[in-house]
Amino acid sequence: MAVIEVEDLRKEYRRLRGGRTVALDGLDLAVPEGGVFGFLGPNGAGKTTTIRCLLGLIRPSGGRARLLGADSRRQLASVLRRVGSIVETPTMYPRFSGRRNLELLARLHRIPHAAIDEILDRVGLSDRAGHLVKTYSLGMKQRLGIAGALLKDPEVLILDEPANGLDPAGIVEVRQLLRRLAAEGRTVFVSSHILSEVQQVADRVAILARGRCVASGPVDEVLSAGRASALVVRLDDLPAGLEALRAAGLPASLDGDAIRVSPPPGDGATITQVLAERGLFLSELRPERIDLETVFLELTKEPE
Amino acid sequence: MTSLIRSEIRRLTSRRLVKALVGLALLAITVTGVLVAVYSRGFERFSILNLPGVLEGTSFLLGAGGWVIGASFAGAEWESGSITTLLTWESRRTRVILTKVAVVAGGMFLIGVFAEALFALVLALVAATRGTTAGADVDLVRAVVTLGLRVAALSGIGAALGFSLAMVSRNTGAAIGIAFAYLAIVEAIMRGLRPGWRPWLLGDSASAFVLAGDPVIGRSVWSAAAVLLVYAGGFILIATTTFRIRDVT
Repeated sequence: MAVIEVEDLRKEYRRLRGGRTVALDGLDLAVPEGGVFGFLGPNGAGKTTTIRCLLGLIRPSGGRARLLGADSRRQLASVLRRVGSIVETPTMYPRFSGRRNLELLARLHRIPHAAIDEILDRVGLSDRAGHLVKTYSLGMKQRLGIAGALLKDPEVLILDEPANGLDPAGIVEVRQLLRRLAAEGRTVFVSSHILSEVQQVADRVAILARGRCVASGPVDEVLSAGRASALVVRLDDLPAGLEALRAAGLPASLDGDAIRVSPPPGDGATITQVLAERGLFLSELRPERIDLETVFLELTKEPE
Repeated sequence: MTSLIRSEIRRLTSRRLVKALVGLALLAITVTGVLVAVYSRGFERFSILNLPGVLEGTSFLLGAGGWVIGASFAGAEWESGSITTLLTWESRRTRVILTKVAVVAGGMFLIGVFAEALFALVLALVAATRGTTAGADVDLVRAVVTLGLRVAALSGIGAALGFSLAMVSRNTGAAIGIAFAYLAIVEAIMRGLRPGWRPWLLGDSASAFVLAGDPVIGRSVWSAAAVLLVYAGGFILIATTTFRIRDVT
């Protein structure tokens, strides 16, 4: 069952001097239950707009968004108790303490007081809980936002750039927290532009560009779909190796200080055999590593 | 619904501005009581018969105070962005805005009742000890009680108007500025150019309401109250409609 379903979602804003800005252009998305779902896209791709539509904060110009089966325009109230969220920078009352902010939220759903202390401890804010939020660093505000999102003990977490403003240690903590939350059976929907983080933590990703989903699925599938896989070959005599591989009918090309064979033969042993027959010996043979960043940049680059 | 009301009451009572204005009111009541006691002697002894006139004088302060607190109660939400967080916990916007306006208007009414009662008690005490209570009767008590309630109600209506304007403008300063510009400039001009409109003006209706009617503009206390309630209801309706349809970004 998909906990988040988005169908043909559109959002347009009128410009002051006429015309329209299209923020979402027929977005389709399905987030299955459980695990961490990475929601990626460059600035202005429509990530936050999508999240705002899902949470009923803005009205879509067209299409449909459903959260836990509830239409986000009409039935959201029935499922909000099961959804924790952060939208952009967490927004709390700056002149109240962190604890008071959480108390005000907890009252809305009759959440017991003990849960507040537990959550504050979990996000490492116990020591500063009594201080005014306006004295918090960006990272501390982010932690408070995460605390607010976790306060409902939600089934689904929607986190918009949760690592924003955090130091490296904080980023690692958030990553571990997300994995832990997913391991507890929750669905974590996280938007981020820190691709390496998402790659480490997400089970599935969707990549957004110009208001549309350009790739979606398990991380491995999205990585391999971006470009054809290849084998990287290293040896001392590159020109001789290149000639030998081409002579054997393999699609080899020089790529810096290595030879790239793409698409690779069904069996990597073919390459070692061809080279060995010419008295050439490998120093390295490995599949080309494609990271999410490469795929992301290829999929989201502006059309020329 | 009750949990939302409790949360909003907690927020209202936690606000520094509310605490500061209540503190100021207590200080002003104390200082006024001391000054009246000090200068109440000889032929200028403070008479309890002057009590209604003194309480009438507080109506502007409580009305304006209500407006400021109402405006900041809504404006602070928009300026800090915490309305976004609130709506991710309670998405029924009509329920949210009506609860908020009820809490701030009700809260200001209660603060007004408390302030008027305390002020009346302090001045009655001064009249009894250092002034005169001659002429005090049940009618005076009734007049003081109903006047105090009307002033407190004006504070609550001011809070509802300030709150509604700030919900539409999404800014505390704008709501206060608009109030000042409208009451001090627009209504003053209208009073001069169109005297026949006076019964329908906010300022004149508020004045007639506090003074238990104004024969000059032909308003009884009830008709003045009705005009004020129409203003408050209209503002709340506009604020609710705008809040329901506008994007929260």
